Amino acid sequence: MPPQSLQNQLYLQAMRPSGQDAAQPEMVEAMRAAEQDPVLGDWLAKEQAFDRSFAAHLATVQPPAHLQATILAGVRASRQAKGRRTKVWRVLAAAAAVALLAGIGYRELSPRPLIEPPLAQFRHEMIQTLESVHALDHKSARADEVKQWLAEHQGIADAGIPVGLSERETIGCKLFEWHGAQVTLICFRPCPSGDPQSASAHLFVVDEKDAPELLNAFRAQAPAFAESNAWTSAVWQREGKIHLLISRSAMPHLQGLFAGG
Amino acid sequence: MSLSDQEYAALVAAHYAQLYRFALSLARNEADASDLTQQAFYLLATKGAQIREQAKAKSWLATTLYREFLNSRRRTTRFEHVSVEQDAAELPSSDPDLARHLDGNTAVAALQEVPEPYRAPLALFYLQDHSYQEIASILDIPIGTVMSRLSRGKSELRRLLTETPSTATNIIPMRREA
Repeated sequence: MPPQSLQNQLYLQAMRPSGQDAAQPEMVEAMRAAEQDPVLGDWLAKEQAFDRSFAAHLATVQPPAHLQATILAGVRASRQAKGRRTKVWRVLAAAAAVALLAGIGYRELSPRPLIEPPLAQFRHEMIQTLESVHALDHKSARADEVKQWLAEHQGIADAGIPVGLSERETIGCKLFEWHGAQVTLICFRPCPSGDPQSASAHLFVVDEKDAPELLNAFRAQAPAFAESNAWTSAVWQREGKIHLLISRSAMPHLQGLFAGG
Repeated sequence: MSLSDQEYAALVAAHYAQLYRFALSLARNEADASDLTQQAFYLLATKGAQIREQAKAKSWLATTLYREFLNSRRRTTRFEHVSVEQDAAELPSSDPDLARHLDGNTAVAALQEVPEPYRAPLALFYLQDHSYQEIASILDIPIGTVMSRLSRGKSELRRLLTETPSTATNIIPMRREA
């Protein structure tokens, strides 16, 4: 392609698909060239179609439900702290005001999140649950029996599992409440091959209708991995349900469960 | 004079969602993205007293968030600038169907996988709030570099959408039969 065409192409690929840049002189010139050059014109039509489609999908990603309120609450708190500080300064001696700032004011002036993100809280508390659970509601090595028991007891029987768990035996399952939401826990035995890296895996599933904030906080269908206090975890959503898999397996092993093959 | 509560609330309502999407593409997880978004607005409330115009606030917030992201990563090195000439011969052709079958989650997941030098300009481009000149100002890089990074970034994005199967496809229903 001639250098001038490449230059035009480079401008055109930087033109926003919604058309805000179309009146810029360099874009006008490049678009004129595209009208006269069928190859460039065809490329531009495909490029803009891809860009429009991708931008539209990206715009559907929703922030966590609590984020706007948290931002506003954070600034209100810092302003209230500032107001209190000014008033106290007028009344008390300088030393007292400095003490107030250092003591009371600092925490409120902090820009860090005022509430713990719901997903991190869920993960943290499910790990605590695992560390304290001593009895399952139903024990069975057969996944189909576990599934049937869950269906009969209003648990979540249609959980999605990573392909790497499909051949594993189950240990059993348990139903319990978490902040008013029903949680289904399904436990899987370590890999039957005797791989020393393999450990039991515990799947927590919550339905959207029970915990909408949790689903709003995490809508990715691809798993997101995390590691905390010797526990590894993966979280994903499927068909309106948040799935959280927790294990003592090393991270590469946990990730391998999702690799298939 | 600082922003009134009403002015501040209006700026938050107008920009927090787009800013969060930008943060999510950079930080790759919801908690860090929320944190970065809050931090940018906190700095707007405490240091952005003169900013009332929507357009200026939008750029100021994006610039601040990006700097906070770099600070949080404790970055000390800068990316090499790629010249326009280097990338010019590599401009890819598009397959519009690649994007048609996505959803928002897959789109943002693909964006998060684009290598870092290209990810920020690409995210700002697809959020469509800023021209390529404004992106250059926000990221503090030359205009030619923005254009070349957009080009290379789009190329990477298409490669990821074409070649990398989502691990989401490896999640299967729990079996009914043993």
